[in-house]
Amino acid sequence: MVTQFAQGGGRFGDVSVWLAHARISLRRQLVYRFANWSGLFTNCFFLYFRAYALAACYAGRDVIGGLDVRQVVTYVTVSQALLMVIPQWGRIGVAEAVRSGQISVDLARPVDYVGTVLAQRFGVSAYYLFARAFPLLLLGAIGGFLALPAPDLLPAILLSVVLGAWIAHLLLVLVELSSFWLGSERGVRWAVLGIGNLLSGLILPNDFFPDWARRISLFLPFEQTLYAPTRLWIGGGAESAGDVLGTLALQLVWALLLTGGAQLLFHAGRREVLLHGG
Amino acid sequence: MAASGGASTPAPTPTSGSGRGAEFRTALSIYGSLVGASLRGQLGYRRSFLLELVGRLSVTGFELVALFFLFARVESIGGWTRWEVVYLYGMASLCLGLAEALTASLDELPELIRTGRIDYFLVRPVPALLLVLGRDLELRILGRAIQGAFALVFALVQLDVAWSLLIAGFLTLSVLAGVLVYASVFLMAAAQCFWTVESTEMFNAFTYGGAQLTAYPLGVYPGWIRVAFLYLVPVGFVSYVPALVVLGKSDPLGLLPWAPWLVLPIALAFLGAALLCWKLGTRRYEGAGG
Repeated sequence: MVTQFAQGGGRFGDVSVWLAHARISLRRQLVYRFANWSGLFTNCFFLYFRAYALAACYAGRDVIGGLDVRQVVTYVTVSQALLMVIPQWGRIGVAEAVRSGQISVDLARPVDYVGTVLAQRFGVSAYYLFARAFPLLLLGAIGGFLALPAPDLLPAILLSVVLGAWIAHLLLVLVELSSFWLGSERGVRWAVLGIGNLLSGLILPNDFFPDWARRISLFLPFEQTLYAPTRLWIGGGAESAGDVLGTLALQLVWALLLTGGAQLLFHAGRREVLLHGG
Repeated sequence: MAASGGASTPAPTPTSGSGRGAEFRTALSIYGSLVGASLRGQLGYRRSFLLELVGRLSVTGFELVALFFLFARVESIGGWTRWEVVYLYGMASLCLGLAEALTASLDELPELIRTGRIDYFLVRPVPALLLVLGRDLELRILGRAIQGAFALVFALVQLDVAWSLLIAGFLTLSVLAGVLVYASVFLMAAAQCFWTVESTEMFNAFTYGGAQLTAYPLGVYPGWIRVAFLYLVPVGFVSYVPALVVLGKSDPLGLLPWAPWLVLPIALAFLGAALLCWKLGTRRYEGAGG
């Protein structure tokens, strides 16, 4: 079926195949209904206790790292809501395909491979936007842990979420592509997860970091996944239109850089497969 | 498992019959040789083993970095200072990490149930739980435990603890009870698969969530969270209560003065509940499969 689509050829052929992939992987998620309820429970629980713990840091002070308590609890809600849309971990099947040899079948298809994987991942993200992000924003609001952003910021936030998901998925693709050379990508996966957890703003808002750490963080892609859209929502770095555009531009640069990197790595890995597989 | 006899069920239970003590010793020695084989297998792939151990160390390492970032901005959280919170964090990581390594092979349970291979374990005259657990004791998972132990020791050195036999005892007790309680939650999560087949994230709230939650003093949370983690899933009880004794802190929550003596009974009771869940699960499976 997939190859028939692609017979149309050219870039537009690819796009219609990608849309089909995104649709199918979205639909596949709908099957696991119990898993989603249980995941929602877990996310919601993390949201509540993290909000209480970070709020407790504000005893006797109004501002930490430029953020007040209202912004911090909103940060907890928004980052927890976006966690599954902009994932920092998870298996996406590339490494598994390399290990099992399935990759040689995928390589034979006349559709761009990295694009196909990305399309599947965006399908999953779209599912989680409705199954997790919106319910968690609501649950956070019920607990009193959500301040709404300025309405005219919403389009920028949405765009920032899309760019963040794009970068996050590419990082996972890059990690799994390393299995072309390493045999097992598990060590790299854990190392990236460790740095990603911290720098994506999953544990603490990046505005809490000491200056030197924040500077390092701005030279790496992780902050641009989850914290960039979250920060726009809570109003950090959104004092002027220029700030907002700056955030989006930085995200776009990382998305393009990593897309190029993934393509390079993929084609280098492809040669590796040809060498091994003949 | 071996505690409550399944004499009333027609299905052959592994431990029915006499000489239960001797059988249990045999079972334990089988578990020991399974674990030995698993460890030898893992050490065969040295590079992959080291890479993953270091990778996992980095995950928990960066968690600790975040804690230090936070304490560069604030002096205390809920009345607990930096090194007191590092103690709580280290204790939670150590216990969760050890429990995670002990129960790692339970991850495969959904697959074993789906394919029916769990039958091979259930028909053998040794508790199935020990067989499943012995399949794969994952050393490389120990990254979290190693790092937690380092954090704990470092915090204890910094904190200038008034050492005594009693305090050393409660420290050991806290680790032991913590491992038991976390392992019990992992076991309950696995037992749930006998009903749902697929594994779910729900129990992560109490394992990974529990460890993150108890890295902060329980006093920062509202009553319903405190009650849930002190008494319902006692990961809070076995970490927070001994911490008060070891660090010589007064208790703002107004727990009973003899609460520390309840640490071990509560952990054992919770383990009993988890074993009961497992037992019900296997019985349900045997009932369904015929």
